[in-house]
Amino acid sequence: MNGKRQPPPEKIRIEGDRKTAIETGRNRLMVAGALFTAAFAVIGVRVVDVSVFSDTAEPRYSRSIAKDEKHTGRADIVDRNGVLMATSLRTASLYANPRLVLDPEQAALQLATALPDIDVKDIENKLRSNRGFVWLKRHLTPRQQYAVNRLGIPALNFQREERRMYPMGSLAAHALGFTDIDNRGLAGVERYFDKELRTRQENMALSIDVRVQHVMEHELGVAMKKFSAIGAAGLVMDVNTGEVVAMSSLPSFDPNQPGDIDQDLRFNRTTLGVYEMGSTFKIFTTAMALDAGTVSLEGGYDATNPIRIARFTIRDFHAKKRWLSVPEIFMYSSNIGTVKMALDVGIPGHRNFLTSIGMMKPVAIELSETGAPLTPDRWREINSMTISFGHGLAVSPLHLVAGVSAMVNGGIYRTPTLIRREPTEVSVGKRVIAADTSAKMRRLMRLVVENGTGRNAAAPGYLVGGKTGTAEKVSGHGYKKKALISSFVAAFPMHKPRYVVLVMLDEAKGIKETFGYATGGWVAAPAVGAIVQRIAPVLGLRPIKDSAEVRDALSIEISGRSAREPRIASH
Amino acid sequence: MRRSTLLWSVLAISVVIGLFVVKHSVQTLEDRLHALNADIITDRDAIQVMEAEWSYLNQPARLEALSKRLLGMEAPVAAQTVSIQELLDQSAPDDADTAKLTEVAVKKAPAAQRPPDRKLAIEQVSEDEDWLKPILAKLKKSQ
Repeated sequence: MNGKRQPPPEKIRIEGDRKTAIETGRNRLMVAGALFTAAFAVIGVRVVDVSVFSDTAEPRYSRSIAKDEKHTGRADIVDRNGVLMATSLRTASLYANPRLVLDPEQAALQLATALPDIDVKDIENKLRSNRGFVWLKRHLTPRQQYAVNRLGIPALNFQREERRMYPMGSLAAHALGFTDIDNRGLAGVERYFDKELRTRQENMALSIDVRVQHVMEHELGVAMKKFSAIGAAGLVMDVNTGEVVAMSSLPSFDPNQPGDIDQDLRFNRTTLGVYEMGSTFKIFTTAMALDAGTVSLEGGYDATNPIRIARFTIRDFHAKKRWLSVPEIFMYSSNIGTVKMALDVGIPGHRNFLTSIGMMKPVAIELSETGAPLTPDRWREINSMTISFGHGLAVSPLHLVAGVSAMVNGGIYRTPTLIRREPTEVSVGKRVIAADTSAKMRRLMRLVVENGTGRNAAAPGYLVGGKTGTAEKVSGHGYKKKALISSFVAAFPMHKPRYVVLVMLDEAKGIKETFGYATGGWVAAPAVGAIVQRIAPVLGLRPIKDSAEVRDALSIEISGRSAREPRIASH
Repeated sequence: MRRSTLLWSVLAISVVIGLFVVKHSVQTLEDRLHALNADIITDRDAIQVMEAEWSYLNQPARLEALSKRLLGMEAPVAAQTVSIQELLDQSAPDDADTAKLTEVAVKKAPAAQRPPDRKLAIEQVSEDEDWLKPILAKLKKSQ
């Protein structure tokens, strides 16, 4: 560009064919140039668009883990105080690609040095198979993983996996349930909330309190051993919220060993088992009669003679053979008096009442193992008569506890739950009896422990009240005389109930100490007393000192001959 | 012509070098992030194991056995529980005694210092609790 400009050359005129050729060339050049310019313009625009305006960045090689992000496995389960009950731990599982194994026999022998508990033949066969993937051993310990790595067998590899652990062992095993090797919930809460636990970020808090649960299982175990029972069930329920604080079914199992769990051990006696509960049902009959107004606390019935209907005779276990007032009927657990109470209310009334407190359908608790009650096909007079004292209608212990809660908490029925409820989340429930009737029931239940068949359940300072129950087990078409379901259902503190406690023993046998009796008052009531004494401080209840308010709430007038007859036996 | 070419080539080369340096440092940072993430996950797994172990060691049955064997503890009975109010009611000195004590305290204490009274003590306690509250809340949350 520098330098002097050359004078323009002489114009050369090109004409003819040559001119046309040059013109064509120029035009083509122009078109090609325009195309290229357009293409580059498009690319340029796109570059600006992508790098400046677009959000899609280059795929990140790694990203930072958010502070509050939880690990992605199955959610933990904790108790109501945040104590860990079920968690998932990372483990390594050993797998192989058999096609890459050079010498299966050698590899299997080598593996056996690192993992002594494997079956060499089995592993060898697996390694010989013509597949691309076989599990060799699931959930290795870090030490085992190291040992296998040291062998340096090329076809072996590890898969990171999760293993469900239950640090509390067999505690609350029936409520928690367990999972299989692939972490699918197979029982209990693990099964009921299987999907939710997989996706949930935060822990799931149960209503169970491990301390209360421990006391329950311990005392049940002691009673079971003492009376050679084949099984036991225990429940503690908060009467005001419906939360189940302890749920125990013995014999129990260890959910950490899901492979070894016997079907029989998995049976949850508290929710799946249905039993004829016996005299504890008199709580419902009495409450119903008082609420319906067919009898008052001052009223009573003649219990002199046994009732004969069809081929049955209904008699009293400790017959007084005289007119009994309602408190006496309840206190001495008179079948005759209770039957008459139920008949006065009438059959439809009786059935409706039991339906209203949930005795006709499975309890809607958060478990898949819920038993449907065994109800009579046709409800005749005889059914009402036997059901009034707890025979001819089989319900689960949870049914009973939920019903009794409604009888003592002021008359509100709430469905039991295994999930912790904040005070604001408590369900309203439905009223089943009047608050006044509930107050009367509290007095009656306290009377049973003070003067009646439940004296063994007394826990000084905690005002226990309750009702004994003993029923012969059904076998085939009749009842087994020697196989008893002995239970005691209690509430405490009785002037203002907070918790209902149930202890039930399956086929308890009488011992010398109980004079051979295996009835609820002798075998289950002492366990309830011991449990209440231990769990009340844990649950934050202070011992109640004798006060005018308490006496006022629990005093009862017993019309009738005497409330202080010597006790013969507890039923 | 040559100058501008030089300028552009210097510019282009410096951009390339700059880009390379940035890219390299990003790569290093990403590597570091990756390593840290792996560490975090390892630590989290370890914490999870420790939490499980802590829970295992705190099995009520185990604690009961240990406290019975090593500390000679027994299940409490109702008679062992006394409320603070009952304690105050029982052990509180009567008015005459209190008056005397106050007198002594006033005599001994410097003029500016007031004799300690019960209300003050309670206020102090509740202040202490205020100070503890965020920590307690945090503990509760982390559970």
